[in-house]
Amino acid sequence: MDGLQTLENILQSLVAGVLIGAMYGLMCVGLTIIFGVMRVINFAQGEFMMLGMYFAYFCFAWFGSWAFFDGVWFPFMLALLAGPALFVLGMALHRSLIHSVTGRQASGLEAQGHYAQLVLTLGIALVLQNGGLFLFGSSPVSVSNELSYSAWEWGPMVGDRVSVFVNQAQTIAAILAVVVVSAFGLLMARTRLGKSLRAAADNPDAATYMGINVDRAHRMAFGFGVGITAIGGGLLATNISFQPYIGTEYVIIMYAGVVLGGLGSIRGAFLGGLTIGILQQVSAIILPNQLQNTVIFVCFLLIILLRPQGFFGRRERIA
Amino acid sequence: MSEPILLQLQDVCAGYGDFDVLHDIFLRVSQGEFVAVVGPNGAGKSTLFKTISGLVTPSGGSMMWEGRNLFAVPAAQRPHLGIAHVPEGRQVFPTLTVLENLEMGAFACRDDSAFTHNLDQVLEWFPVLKDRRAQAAGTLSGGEQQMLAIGRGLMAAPDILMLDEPSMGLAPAIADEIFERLVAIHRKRSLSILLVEQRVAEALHFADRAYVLEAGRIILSGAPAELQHNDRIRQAYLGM
Amino acid sequence: MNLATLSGLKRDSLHIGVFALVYAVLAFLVSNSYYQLIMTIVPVWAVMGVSWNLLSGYSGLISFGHAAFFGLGAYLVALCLVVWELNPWLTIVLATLAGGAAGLLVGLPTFRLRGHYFALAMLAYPLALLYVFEWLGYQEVALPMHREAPVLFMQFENGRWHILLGLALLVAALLTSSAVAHSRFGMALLAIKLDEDAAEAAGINTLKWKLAAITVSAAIAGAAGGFYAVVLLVVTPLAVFGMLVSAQALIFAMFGGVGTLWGPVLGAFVLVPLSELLYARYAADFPGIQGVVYGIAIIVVILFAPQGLLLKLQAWRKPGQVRLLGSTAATADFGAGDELLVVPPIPDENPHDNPVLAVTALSKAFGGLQATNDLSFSVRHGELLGIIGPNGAGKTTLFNLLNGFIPPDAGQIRFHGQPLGRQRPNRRCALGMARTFQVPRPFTHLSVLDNVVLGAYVHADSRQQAVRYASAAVQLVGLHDLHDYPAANLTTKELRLMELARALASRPTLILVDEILAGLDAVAMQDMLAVLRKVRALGITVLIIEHSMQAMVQLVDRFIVLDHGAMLAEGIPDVIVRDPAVIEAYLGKKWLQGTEKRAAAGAARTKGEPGHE
Repeated sequence: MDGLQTLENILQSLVAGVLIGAMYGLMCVGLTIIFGVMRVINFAQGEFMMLGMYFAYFCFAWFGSWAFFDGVWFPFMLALLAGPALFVLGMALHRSLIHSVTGRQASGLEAQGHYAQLVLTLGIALVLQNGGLFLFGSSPVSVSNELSYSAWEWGPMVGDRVSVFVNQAQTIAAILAVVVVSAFGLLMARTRLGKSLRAAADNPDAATYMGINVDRAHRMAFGFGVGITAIGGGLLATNISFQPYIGTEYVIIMYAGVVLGGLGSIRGAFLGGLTIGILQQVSAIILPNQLQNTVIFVCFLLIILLRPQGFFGRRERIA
Repeated sequence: MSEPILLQLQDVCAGYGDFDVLHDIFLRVSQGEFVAVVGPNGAGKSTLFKTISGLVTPSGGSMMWEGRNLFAVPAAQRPHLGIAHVPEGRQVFPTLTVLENLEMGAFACRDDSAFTHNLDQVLEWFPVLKDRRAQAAGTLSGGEQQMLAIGRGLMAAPDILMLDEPSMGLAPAIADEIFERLVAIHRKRSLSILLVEQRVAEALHFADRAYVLEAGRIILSGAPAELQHNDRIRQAYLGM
Repeated sequence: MNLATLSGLKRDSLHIGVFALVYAVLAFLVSNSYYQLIMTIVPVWAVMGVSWNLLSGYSGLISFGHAAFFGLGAYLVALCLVVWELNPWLTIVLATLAGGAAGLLVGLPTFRLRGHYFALAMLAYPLALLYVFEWLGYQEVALPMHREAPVLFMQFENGRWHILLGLALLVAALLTSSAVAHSRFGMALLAIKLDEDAAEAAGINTLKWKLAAITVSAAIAGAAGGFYAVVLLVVTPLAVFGMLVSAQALIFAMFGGVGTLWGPVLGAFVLVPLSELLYARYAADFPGIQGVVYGIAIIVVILFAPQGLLLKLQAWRKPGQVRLLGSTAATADFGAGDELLVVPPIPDENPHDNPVLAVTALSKAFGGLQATNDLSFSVRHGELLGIIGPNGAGKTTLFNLLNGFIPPDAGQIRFHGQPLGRQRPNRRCALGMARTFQVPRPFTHLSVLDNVVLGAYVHADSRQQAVRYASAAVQLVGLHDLHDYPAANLTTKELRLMELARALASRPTLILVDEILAGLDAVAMQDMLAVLRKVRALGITVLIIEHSMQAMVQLVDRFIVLDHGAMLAEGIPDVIVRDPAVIEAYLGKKWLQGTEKRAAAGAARTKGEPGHE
């Protein structure tokens, strides 16, 4: 009896882990693009996720009651729209603030450009987090509709007992996440824009010799990174409740996924995020709620201490 | 020589931070010429190219390209004017395939419709690249990477091809092969070439005209025949 | 402790004393309990700033996780009071020790990481602790009141006592910070900040000093946290482990001036009252205003005055002047002679038989490229050996292998007969192997003499002795006129000479000289050669890399020519320069053929002329 119950719990967690992990994977991809192309550690990535969530929330709140928009697909569409919206914000932020501490200018700064990037994005994170607190209030909200509460039953399986409930909203969100990652992967692999971003990441000097404007490439990469993570956030918003401080919690989760997969690798980041999602959900079986995230932090620390180049992606270039 | 002057440097000084590496450089490349710049290591040859390409900002002098002031043009724009730079150490994009590297070379090409034609030409000149089309550039051998880098430069259908020490780190036989291809391309296309080389004799053998750079200054210039066995060069390199 | 440290410390103590006096007087003048609270909180945050500065400001290792130590201190004091009724006088001391221990524990694994990985790890620690404490059920720990013994439990009726305690803590922190800054500890941290590799090669044990820094820094942060708990009387995970805490530690130091003594104090004294007042007036309408203010402050500072206010003001008053760091109160001692630099030989070892350095079958590959290919050679005592080869021949890789920056794939290196194994560069320097770098690595904000002194510490017992060695070295290379100039103002040649002096100050038996002649004009080159001859005359073995034969032929006893990482030729200059393989490698095959043709033609002509034999 107990065994079957445990089996069911494990299967349930695995399924939930895969679905949520897909959304984490998407967010990790956004983060890794920024690092891969610009070599920037963006501490504010969690805040951009949060902004994506609130974008979906507010659009839903304002327009959701309109007849045309009251379908179950609306929240998901909003999640997708968060992408372009945050893309524009990301580009604007890069042009106004970030570009002065990254790229070629960084070499002129004292104490290596690294430091300045980290601190700047920390400052941006604080402003967004607390600005969000002011603008959005501190009570948790979410973007849910009836899909969030319905699930397909898969089973009963073994001995008429074991059933796995697959949440419908999660499933749709996960599918969309995979679609977005694939589309972006195609963009990077097949289009001239994507190739020029990869070239700028591989060798900025040589890219300049080709006539590629590396600064502009960085700006696009930042925009993409922020936008993609925002879509992930918007999708996640259909599943969980959130408040303006949620970014801090998730930034370590995202970095854990990214380093697991190898900094700079898109495929690695997605798989890394997926793994983290599974780890998180499965650990819920044995650990109390608050410690789930601690497990992830510990994983993160172990990875960067023991195998910083990660497991899934290509080896990070030795600079 | 009634050929139009493509590139002209006059009294150019440039360096890194407060230290000038180049002093009072004068240099001229006319259309269809093969010009070599030779000199021992540390003479400033790479700095010269970086200055022309815009990665190093000069502190004085003037640089003209087809009559316009090059100083005013940002680095990423210069390839679009027809200046192709094949950097020292090849500097291919290691995670991109050979084909993608060549596509990046075409980024600055002024005539998009010529892409297929240019690609076919490059693959014809360097058949080994055709075989390795889909391979990641980082996995190629040194000689193959050099050919890729040159091919990449040619994809932009440039007016001038600048090559920074293409023979560096390559076995002499392969370096010779590359030089021979270069000359063939130069003759066939009347492409202007500016070559920087440590190996003097090779460079002088193929060039129309040469400059000798030492400690950041041009100490000699002229036709190869005059320079070929000049003891001053030998002195600069070997010390006796 | 020595004279220079004491004088710097004395000066700072005076300033600290005056500051404390003024603040104490102010404390007694203020009677509003809210302002008294602010006057207590401000020094606490100043202490956090000082703590952060001691690690990150002095060493350049940016920590985003000081909240971990702060929070541990706070919870220790709170829980000890709640559970065991231990008084804060005792437990704050415990918090200091616990903080230090935590710092050491964190530093040991984390310092193996470089750059962004280090920053990310530091960010994770306090967040992990936050979750743990929430899980443990300590969402809100209130310190119980003990009215029966207010002094014992630091729960004074009169808020002024808290202010004084906070002030005392700040004074202690500042004195510690000053003592560190003016000592060898501080100099080592500065060297690490300016160029960790160069510091390592100069014999500074970077790991040891980094661990010392984080231990002291974390201890101070723990004390701050402990006192904070006493003042606020309630501890929640977010308030003590949250990102805002780490950010505050950082912003105060950055705002006021990274790496300076008073910077964090300035930052705290400006920003804390500002944010507290904003919070008090606007928090109801604008929740989160504190965070926004700090965030904007961080952004503005990092973009416009990354050095902080103090240094921006100084730069504004004296534009163009390079700021000189460290204690330049070093008294140069130029009387001593060059012999100071010579290490007396070990009596047992017979210097004329055994090679100083013996390399056997050394190999190293990077990816597909074989940078060093089965290389074997040895260097005799007192020899001046030149390693030469065209670009890309693997010369600098060889030095990095000899010096210990990279491990070989195969082969062995024996120094004075002992195999070197995996010993780190600073260890090799202590054994007598010094090195200069191809691109000079000056500690730009130090004077020439201080740059060299850093290299002297490895074998000096005291600062005075280090200064003597350094002075001798500076004199040998001819820089004694420039000894108190900031290194940033030197020309290429002078920088190279300074590098050489720094290497000499460690009293090596072998110096690895990496392309010291590159790019020098004829006159400078002759000067440099003269110095190198002087070094050799002292009996120090010199291994010099150069690409250009031109100068080397006048200098070296023997050459080794490398090509593609392998040995191409070996011998005395006269022979090497005429070696066909060498000529081909340098000038090309065609030159060689041309030379041979001319030689043949010349021989034919000579034969034909009468009277020549």
